[in-house]
Amino acid sequence: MLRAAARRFDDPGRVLEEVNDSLHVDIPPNMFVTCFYAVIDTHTGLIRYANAGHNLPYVRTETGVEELRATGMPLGLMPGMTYEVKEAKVAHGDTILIHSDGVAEAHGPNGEMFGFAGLMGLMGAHGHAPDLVERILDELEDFTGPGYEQEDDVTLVVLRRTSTAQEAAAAFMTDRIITEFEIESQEGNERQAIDLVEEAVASIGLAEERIERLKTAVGEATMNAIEHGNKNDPALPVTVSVALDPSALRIRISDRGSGRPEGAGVATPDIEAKLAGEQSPRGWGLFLIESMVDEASESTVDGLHTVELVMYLEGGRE
Amino acid sequence: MTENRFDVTTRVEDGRLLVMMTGDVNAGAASKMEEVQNAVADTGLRGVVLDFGKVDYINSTGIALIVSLLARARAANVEVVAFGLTDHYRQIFQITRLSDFVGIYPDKASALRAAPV
Repeated sequence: MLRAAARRFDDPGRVLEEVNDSLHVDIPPNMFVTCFYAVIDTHTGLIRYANAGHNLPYVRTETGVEELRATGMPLGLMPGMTYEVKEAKVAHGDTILIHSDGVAEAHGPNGEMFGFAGLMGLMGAHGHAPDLVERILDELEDFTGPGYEQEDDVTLVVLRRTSTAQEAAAAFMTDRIITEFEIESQEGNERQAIDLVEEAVASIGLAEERIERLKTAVGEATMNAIEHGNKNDPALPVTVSVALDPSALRIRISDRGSGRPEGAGVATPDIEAKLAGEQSPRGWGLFLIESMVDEASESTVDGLHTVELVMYLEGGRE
Repeated sequence: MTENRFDVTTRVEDGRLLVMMTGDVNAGAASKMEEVQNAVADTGLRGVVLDFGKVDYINSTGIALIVSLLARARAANVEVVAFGLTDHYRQIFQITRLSDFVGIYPDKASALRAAPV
Protein backbone atom coordinates (compact mmCIF):
# COMPACT_ATOMS: atom_id res chain seq x y z
CA MET A 1 0.00 0.00 0.00
CA LEU A 2 2.80 2.38 0.94
CA ARG A 3 4.64 1.71 -2.27
CA ALA A 4 1.54 2.25 -4.36
CA ALA A 5 0.72 5.53 -2.57
CA ALA A 6 4.35 6.67 -2.73
CA ARG A 7 4.27 6.35 -6.49
CA ARG A 8 1.25 8.61 -6.71
CA PHE A 9 2.09 11.33 -4.20
CA ASP A 10 5.22 13.26 -3.31
CA ASP A 11 3.77 14.73 -0.15
CA PRO A 12 4.43 12.51 2.89
CA GLY A 13 1.14 13.56 4.55
CA ARG A 14 -0.83 12.73 1.44
CA VAL A 15 0.80 9.30 1.26
CA LEU A 16 -0.19 8.49 4.84
CA GLU A 17 -3.75 9.76 4.28
CA GLU A 18 -4.12 7.48 1.32
CA VAL A 19 -2.75 4.44 3.12
CA ASN A 20 -4.85 5.17 6.20
CA ASP A 21 -8.06 5.25 4.17
CA SER A 22 -7.22 2.07 2.25
CA LEU A 23 -6.19 0.24 5.38
CA HIS A 24 -9.20 1.32 7.42
CA VAL A 25 -11.48 -0.64 5.09
CA ASP A 26 -9.78 -3.98 5.67
CA ILE A 27 -8.13 -3.83 9.06
CA PRO A 28 -9.73 -5.83 11.94
CA PRO A 29 -11.32 -3.72 14.72
CA ASN A 30 -8.93 -2.20 17.27
CA MET A 31 -5.95 -2.95 15.08
CA PHE A 32 -3.71 -0.25 13.69
CA VAL A 33 -0.27 0.35 12.21
CA THR A 34 2.20 3.04 13.16
CA CYS A 35 4.37 4.53 10.44
CA PHE A 36 7.04 7.16 10.10
CA TYR A 37 7.31 8.28 6.47
CA ALA A 38 10.04 10.58 5.16
CA VAL A 39 11.34 11.81 1.84
CA ILE A 40 15.00 12.74 1.93
CA ASP A 41 16.90 14.80 -0.62
CA THR A 42 20.38 13.35 -0.34
CA HIS A 43 21.96 16.34 -2.09
CA THR A 44 20.55 19.08 0.13
CA GLY A 45 19.89 17.06 3.29
CA LEU A 46 16.28 18.27 3.36
CA ILE A 47 13.96 15.76 5.00
CA ARG A 48 10.14 16.09 4.69
CA TYR A 49 8.27 13.77 6.95
CA ALA A 50 4.93 12.79 8.42
CA ASN A 51 4.18 10.49 11.30
CA ALA A 52 1.27 8.14 11.89
CA GLY A 53 1.67 7.54 15.60
CA HIS A 54 5.15 6.09 15.44
CA ASN A 55 7.88 6.69 18.02
CA LEU A 56 9.62 9.97 17.29
CA PRO A 57 12.89 9.45 15.43
CA TYR A 58 15.95 11.15 16.87
CA VAL A 59 18.55 13.23 15.09
CA ARG A 60 22.02 13.50 16.55
CA THR A 61 23.36 16.84 15.35
CA GLU A 62 26.66 18.46 16.08
CA THR A 63 25.22 20.05 19.20
CA GLY A 64 22.73 17.58 20.61
CA VAL A 65 19.76 15.32 20.03
CA GLU A 66 16.50 16.47 18.46
CA GLU A 67 13.20 14.74 17.79
CA LEU A 68 11.53 14.65 14.39
CA ARG A 69 8.11 15.62 15.66
CA ALA A 70 4.94 15.60 13.54
CA THR A 71 1.43 14.68 14.64
CA GLY A 72 -0.89 12.08 13.16
CA MET A 73 -3.05 9.11 14.15
CA PRO A 74 -1.91 5.53 13.56
CA LEU A 75 -2.97 4.06 10.23
CA GLY A 76 -6.25 2.15 9.97
CA LEU A 77 -7.97 3.45 13.11
CA MET A 78 -10.24 6.09 11.61
CA PRO A 79 -10.89 7.23 8.04
CA GLY A 80 -10.30 10.75 6.77
CA MET A 81 -7.34 11.56 9.00
CA THR A 82 -4.84 14.25 8.01
CA TYR A 83 -1.14 14.13 8.77
CA GLU A 84 1.05 17.07 9.62
CA VAL A 85 4.06 17.44 7.34
CA LYS A 86 7.27 18.87 8.76
CA GLU A 87 10.67 19.64 7.32
CA ALA A 88 14.15 19.49 8.77
CA LYS A 89 17.61 19.97 7.43
CA VAL A 90 20.06 17.17 8.04
CA ALA A 91 23.63 18.47 8.09
CA HIS A 92 26.74 16.59 7.06
CA GLY A 93 27.70 14.33 9.92
CA ASP A 94 24.17 14.15 11.39
CA THR A 95 22.66 10.78 12.23
CA ILE A 96 18.96 9.85 12.27
CA LEU A 97 17.71 6.95 14.38
CA ILE A 98 14.32 5.40 13.64
CA HIS A 99 13.26 2.85 16.25
CA SER A 100 10.38 0.52 17.03
CA ASP A 101 8.50 0.03 20.33
CA GLY A 102 10.45 -2.96 21.51
CA VAL A 103 13.49 -0.82 22.28
CA ALA A 104 12.24 2.02 24.47
CA GLU A 105 9.46 -0.10 25.99
CA ALA A 106 11.64 -3.03 27.00
CA HIS A 107 11.46 -3.76 30.73
CA GLY A 108 14.26 -4.40 33.17
CA PRO A 109 14.20 -7.16 35.84
CA ASN A 110 12.36 -4.84 38.28
CA GLY A 111 9.70 -3.74 35.80
CA GLU A 112 11.24 -0.39 34.95
CA MET A 113 11.28 0.71 31.30
CA PHE A 114 14.37 1.30 29.17
CA GLY A 115 12.58 4.50 28.16
CA PHE A 116 12.69 7.15 25.49
CA ALA A 117 14.94 9.30 27.63
CA GLY A 118 17.37 6.40 27.90
CA LEU A 119 17.43 5.95 24.15
CA MET A 120 17.84 9.67 23.58
CA GLY A 121 20.72 9.65 26.04
CA LEU A 122 22.42 6.91 24.05
CA MET A 123 21.98 8.98 20.89
CA GLY A 124 23.70 11.83 22.69
CA ALA A 125 26.55 9.64 23.81
CA HIS A 126 27.07 7.41 20.77
CA GLY A 127 25.09 9.05 17.96
CA HIS A 128 28.17 9.50 15.79
CA ALA A 129 29.59 6.01 16.37
CA PRO A 130 29.93 3.79 13.31
CA ASP A 131 28.54 0.88 15.35
CA LEU A 132 25.59 2.79 16.87
CA VAL A 133 23.13 -0.10 16.41
CA GLU A 134 25.44 -2.56 18.17
CA ARG A 135 25.94 -0.14 21.04
CA ILE A 136 22.22 0.36 21.55
CA LEU A 137 21.58 -3.38 21.44
CA ASP A 138 24.41 -3.96 23.93
CA GLU A 139 22.94 -1.38 26.32
CA LEU A 140 19.49 -2.89 25.90
CA GLU A 141 20.82 -6.33 26.72
CA ASP A 142 22.60 -5.03 29.80
CA PHE A 143 19.40 -3.29 30.90
CA THR A 144 17.03 -6.22 30.45
CA GLY A 145 19.46 -8.69 31.97
CA PRO A 146 19.89 -12.41 31.28
CA GLY A 147 16.93 -14.57 30.28
CA TYR A 148 14.90 -11.61 29.01
CA GLU A 149 12.03 -12.55 26.75
CA GLN A 150 11.59 -9.93 24.07
CA GLU A 151 8.21 -8.18 24.43
CA ASP A 152 7.91 -6.38 21.14
CA ASP A 153 9.57 -5.81 17.78
CA VAL A 154 13.11 -4.43 18.10
CA THR A 155 14.05 -2.60 14.91
CA LEU A 156 16.64 0.13 14.56
CA VAL A 157 17.34 2.06 11.37
CA VAL A 158 20.28 4.44 11.26
CA LEU A 159 20.68 7.04 8.51
CA ARG A 160 23.80 9.11 8.35
CA ARG A 161 24.61 11.97 6.02
CA THR A 162 28.23 12.19 4.91
CA SER A 163 30.02 14.63 2.64
CA THR A 164 32.42 12.27 0.92
CA ALA A 165 32.53 8.73 -0.36
CA GLN A 166 35.28 7.92 2.09
CA GLU A 167 33.22 9.22 4.96
CA ALA A 168 30.27 7.21 3.70
CA ALA A 169 32.41 4.12 3.62
CA ALA A 170 33.75 4.89 7.06
CA ALA A 171 30.40 5.95 8.56
CA PHE A 172 29.30 2.40 9.25
CA MET A 173 32.60 0.72 8.83
CA THR A 174 33.32 -2.60 10.30
CA ASP A 175 36.80 -2.44 8.86
CA ARG A 176 39.80 -0.75 10.36
CA ILE A 177 41.70 1.98 8.55
CA ILE A 178 45.38 1.11 8.73
CA THR A 179 46.61 4.23 7.04
CA GLU A 180 45.31 7.22 5.14
CA PHE A 181 47.32 9.75 3.20
CA GLU A 182 47.18 12.36 0.45
CA ILE A 183 49.50 12.79 -2.48
CA GLU A 184 49.95 15.71 -4.81
CA SER A 185 48.55 15.31 -8.32
CA GLN A 186 51.77 15.30 -10.25
CA GLU A 187 53.09 12.83 -12.77
CA GLY A 188 55.17 10.11 -11.19
CA ASN A 189 53.74 10.53 -7.69
CA GLU A 190 52.01 7.16 -7.91
CA ARG A 191 55.31 5.78 -6.67
CA GLN A 192 54.65 7.46 -3.31
CA ALA A 193 51.27 5.74 -3.11
CA ILE A 194 52.83 2.39 -3.98
CA ASP A 195 55.56 2.76 -1.36
CA LEU A 196 53.17 3.87 1.40
CA VAL A 197 50.68 1.09 0.68
CA GLU A 198 53.48 -1.46 0.61
CA GLU A 199 54.70 -0.23 3.98
CA ALA A 200 51.17 -0.32 5.42
CA VAL A 201 50.43 -3.89 4.35
CA ALA A 202 53.87 -5.29 5.16
CA SER A 203 52.76 -6.99 8.37
CA ILE A 204 49.43 -8.50 7.35
CA GLY A 205 50.84 -11.61 5.72
CA LEU A 206 49.84 -11.29 2.08
CA ALA A 207 51.95 -13.48 -0.20
CA GLU A 208 54.76 -11.56 -1.87
CA GLU A 209 53.36 -12.08 -5.36
CA ARG A 210 49.98 -10.72 -4.25
CA ILE A 211 51.65 -7.67 -2.73
CA GLU A 212 53.34 -7.06 -6.09
CA ARG A 213 49.98 -7.31 -7.83
CA LEU A 214 48.43 -4.91 -5.36
CA LYS A 215 51.30 -2.44 -5.88
CA THR A 216 50.77 -2.49 -9.62
CA ALA A 217 47.00 -1.91 -9.21
CA VAL A 218 47.57 0.89 -6.69
CA GLY A 219 50.06 2.52 -9.06
CA GLU A 220 47.69 2.37 -12.02
CA ALA A 221 44.66 3.58 -10.06
CA THR A 222 46.69 6.44 -8.58
CA MET A 223 48.04 7.40 -12.01
CA ASN A 224 44.48 7.55 -13.31
CA ALA A 225 43.41 9.64 -10.33
CA ILE A 226 46.29 12.09 -10.89
CA GLU A 227 45.99 12.32 -14.66
CA HIS A 228 42.32 11.78 -15.50
CA GLY A 229 40.59 12.57 -12.20
CA ASN A 230 42.55 15.59 -11.00
CA LYS A 231 43.97 16.57 -14.42
CA ASN A 232 47.49 16.87 -12.95
CA ASP A 233 46.38 19.80 -10.80
CA PRO A 234 48.74 19.83 -7.78
CA ALA A 235 46.10 21.74 -5.79
CA LEU A 236 43.84 18.69 -5.90
CA PRO A 237 45.10 15.83 -3.75
CA VAL A 238 44.61 12.14 -4.38
CA THR A 239 43.56 10.50 -1.14
CA VAL A 240 44.43 6.90 -0.39
CA SER A 241 43.09 4.84 2.48
CA VAL A 242 44.10 1.32 3.39
CA ALA A 243 41.54 -0.63 5.41
CA LEU A 244 41.53 -4.13 6.76
CA ASP A 245 38.44 -6.16 7.55
CA PRO A 246 38.32 -9.77 8.70
CA SER A 247 38.47 -11.16 5.17
CA ALA A 248 40.05 -8.56 2.93
CA LEU A 249 42.31 -5.63 2.43
CA ARG A 250 40.57 -2.63 0.87
CA ILE A 251 42.45 0.21 -0.76
CA ARG A 252 40.37 3.27 -1.66
CA ILE A 253 41.85 5.84 -4.01
CA SER A 254 39.89 9.06 -4.50
CA ASP A 255 40.12 12.01 -6.85
CA ARG A 256 37.97 15.02 -7.67
CA GLY A 257 36.95 13.81 -11.11
CA SER A 258 33.63 12.48 -12.25
CA GLY A 259 34.90 8.98 -13.05
CA ARG A 260 33.98 7.00 -16.07
CA PRO A 261 30.42 6.78 -17.35
CA GLU A 262 28.36 4.37 -15.30
CA GLY A 263 28.38 0.84 -16.66
CA ALA A 264 31.45 1.45 -18.82
CA GLY A 265 33.24 -1.87 -19.00
CA VAL A 266 36.93 -2.59 -19.26
CA ALA A 267 37.95 -3.81 -22.69
CA THR A 268 40.82 -6.25 -23.07
CA PRO A 269 43.44 -4.39 -25.09
CA ASP A 270 44.00 -5.86 -28.55
CA ILE A 271 47.75 -6.31 -28.74
CA GLU A 272 47.71 -7.43 -32.38
CA ALA A 273 45.99 -4.18 -33.39
CA LYS A 274 48.45 -2.21 -31.28
CA LEU A 275 51.48 -3.92 -32.81
CA ALA A 276 50.08 -3.37 -36.29
CA GLY A 277 49.76 0.35 -35.51
CA GLU A 278 45.97 0.23 -35.85
CA GLN A 279 45.42 1.19 -32.21
CA SER A 280 47.24 3.41 -29.75
CA PRO A 281 49.92 1.45 -27.89
CA ARG A 282 48.42 2.85 -24.67
CA GLY A 283 45.27 1.91 -22.77
CA TRP A 284 46.56 -0.77 -20.39
CA GLY A 285 45.79 0.83 -17.03
CA LEU A 286 42.25 -0.32 -16.27
CA PHE A 287 42.90 -3.74 -17.74
CA LEU A 288 45.92 -4.13 -15.46
CA ILE A 289 43.96 -3.01 -12.40
CA GLU A 290 41.21 -5.53 -13.06
CA SER A 291 43.72 -8.28 -13.71
CA MET A 292 45.74 -7.65 -10.56
CA VAL A 293 43.21 -7.56 -7.70
CA ASP A 294 40.34 -9.78 -6.53
CA GLU A 295 37.77 -7.01 -6.87
CA ALA A 296 37.86 -3.51 -8.32
CA SER A 297 34.95 -1.09 -8.28
CA GLU A 298 34.37 2.64 -8.59
CA SER A 299 31.85 5.09 -7.25
CA THR A 300 31.25 8.82 -7.31
CA VAL A 301 29.63 10.54 -4.33
CA ASP A 302 29.41 14.30 -3.86
CA GLY A 303 32.12 15.07 -6.39
CA LEU A 304 34.55 12.51 -5.03
CA HIS A 305 35.40 9.64 -7.36
CA THR A 306 36.73 6.56 -5.59
CA VAL A 307 38.25 3.35 -6.88
CA GLU A 308 38.23 0.50 -4.40
CA LEU A 309 40.73 -2.31 -4.80
CA VAL A 310 40.11 -5.47 -2.80
CA MET A 311 42.58 -8.24 -2.02
CA TYR A 312 41.19 -11.26 -0.16
CA LEU A 313 43.31 -12.36 2.76
CA GLU A 314 42.70 -16.00 1.89
CA GLY A 315 41.97 -17.51 -1.49
CA GLY A 316 41.71 -14.92 -4.20
CA ARG A 317 43.14 -15.11 -7.64
CA GLU A 318 46.44 -16.86 -8.24
CA MET B 1 59.57 17.70 -11.98
CA THR B 2 59.74 14.13 -10.93
CA GLU B 3 63.02 12.38 -10.68
CA ASN B 4 63.93 10.57 -13.85
CA ARG B 5 64.79 7.11 -12.69
CA PHE B 6 65.39 5.53 -16.06
CA ASP B 7 68.48 4.99 -18.12
CA VAL B 8 69.30 2.80 -21.05
CA THR B 9 72.46 1.79 -22.88
CA THR B 10 72.78 -0.29 -26.02
CA ARG B 11 75.64 -2.27 -27.50
CA VAL B 12 76.10 -5.02 -30.03
CA GLU B 13 76.93 -8.36 -28.49
CA ASP B 14 77.32 -11.63 -30.43
CA GLY B 15 75.68 -9.99 -33.43
CA ARG B 16 72.54 -8.94 -31.49
CA LEU B 17 71.56 -5.53 -30.20
CA LEU B 18 71.63 -5.69 -26.40
CA VAL B 19 69.41 -3.08 -24.69
CA MET B 20 70.22 -2.65 -21.01
CA MET B 21 67.62 -0.71 -19.02
CA THR B 22 67.95 0.63 -15.50
CA GLY B 23 65.24 2.06 -13.23
CA ASP B 24 61.58 2.75 -13.95
CA VAL B 25 59.95 2.11 -17.31
CA ASN B 26 57.25 4.77 -17.17
CA ALA B 27 56.47 8.16 -18.71
CA GLY B 28 59.93 9.35 -17.66
CA ALA B 29 61.46 6.71 -19.93
CA ALA B 30 59.63 7.88 -23.07
CA SER B 31 62.34 9.91 -24.81
CA LYS B 32 65.08 7.40 -24.13
CA MET B 33 62.88 4.52 -25.24
CA GLU B 34 62.18 6.41 -28.44
CA GLU B 35 65.92 6.51 -29.12
CA VAL B 36 65.98 2.76 -28.55
CA GLN B 37 63.12 2.34 -31.03
CA ASN B 38 65.12 4.22 -33.64
CA ALA B 39 68.21 2.17 -32.88
CA VAL B 40 66.23 -1.07 -33.20
CA ALA B 41 64.79 -0.01 -36.54
CA ASP B 42 68.07 1.32 -37.92
CA THR B 43 70.58 -1.15 -36.56
CA GLY B 44 70.47 -3.58 -39.45
CA LEU B 45 70.69 -6.44 -36.93
CA ARG B 46 67.96 -9.06 -36.85
CA GLY B 47 67.88 -9.78 -33.15
CA VAL B 48 67.33 -7.51 -30.13
CA VAL B 49 67.79 -8.60 -26.51
CA LEU B 50 66.09 -6.54 -23.79
CA ASP B 51 67.78 -6.68 -20.40
CA PHE B 52 65.25 -5.96 -17.61
CA GLY B 53 67.63 -7.09 -14.85
CA LYS B 54 67.90 -3.62 -13.36
CA VAL B 55 64.31 -2.51 -13.91
CA ASP B 56 62.35 -2.03 -10.68
CA TYR B 57 59.05 -0.79 -12.02
CA ILE B 58 57.04 -0.99 -15.22
CA ASN B 59 53.67 0.73 -15.38
CA SER B 60 50.98 0.88 -18.07
CA THR B 61 52.80 3.74 -19.80
CA GLY B 62 55.94 1.60 -19.78
CA ILE B 63 54.02 -1.27 -21.31
CA ALA B 64 52.86 1.10 -24.04
CA LEU B 65 56.51 2.05 -24.66
CA ILE B 66 57.44 -1.62 -24.96
CA VAL B 67 54.50 -2.19 -27.34
CA SER B 68 55.73 0.74 -29.47
CA LEU B 69 59.22 -0.74 -29.48
CA LEU B 70 57.84 -4.11 -30.59
CA ALA B 71 55.74 -2.50 -33.29
CA ARG B 72 58.81 -0.73 -34.69
CA ALA B 73 60.85 -3.94 -34.50
CA ARG B 74 58.13 -5.88 -36.23
CA ALA B 75 57.90 -3.36 -39.05
CA ALA B 76 61.69 -3.63 -39.49
CA ASN B 77 61.53 -7.44 -39.36
CA VAL B 78 63.56 -7.55 -36.15
CA GLU B 79 62.92 -10.20 -33.48
CA VAL B 80 62.91 -9.19 -29.82
CA VAL B 81 63.64 -11.37 -26.78
CA ALA B 82 63.97 -10.44 -23.12
CA PHE B 83 65.53 -11.60 -19.87
CA GLY B 84 65.86 -10.40 -16.29
CA LEU B 85 62.13 -9.92 -15.64
CA THR B 86 60.93 -10.57 -12.10
CA ASP B 87 58.22 -13.19 -11.62
CA HIS B 88 55.68 -10.39 -11.25
CA TYR B 89 56.53 -8.65 -14.50
CA ARG B 90 56.83 -11.97 -16.27
CA GLN B 91 53.24 -12.54 -15.21
CA ILE B 92 52.26 -9.09 -16.47
CA PHE B 93 53.88 -9.88 -19.80
CA GLN B 94 51.67 -12.99 -19.91
CA ILE B 95 48.46 -11.22 -18.89
CA THR B 96 49.01 -8.48 -21.45
CA ARG B 97 50.06 -11.11 -24.04
CA LEU B 98 53.33 -9.25 -24.61
CA SER B 99 54.95 -12.63 -24.04
CA ASP B 100 53.31 -13.94 -27.22
CA PHE B 101 55.53 -11.52 -29.12
CA VAL B 102 58.67 -11.37 -26.97
CA GLY B 103 60.48 -14.55 -26.04
CA ILE B 104 61.24 -14.44 -22.30
CA TYR B 105 64.39 -16.14 -21.05
CA PRO B 106 65.83 -16.67 -17.60
CA ASP B 107 69.27 -15.22 -18.33
CA LYS B 108 71.38 -13.29 -20.80
CA ALA B 109 73.11 -16.32 -22.32
CA SER B 110 69.87 -18.10 -23.22
CA ALA B 111 68.29 -14.87 -24.49
CA LEU B 112 71.29 -14.15 -26.73
CA ARG B 113 71.21 -17.68 -28.09
CA ALA B 114 67.48 -17.38 -28.87
CA ALA B 115 67.72 -14.08 -30.76
CA PRO B 116 68.49 -14.45 -34.48
CA VAL B 117 71.66 -13.07 -35.98
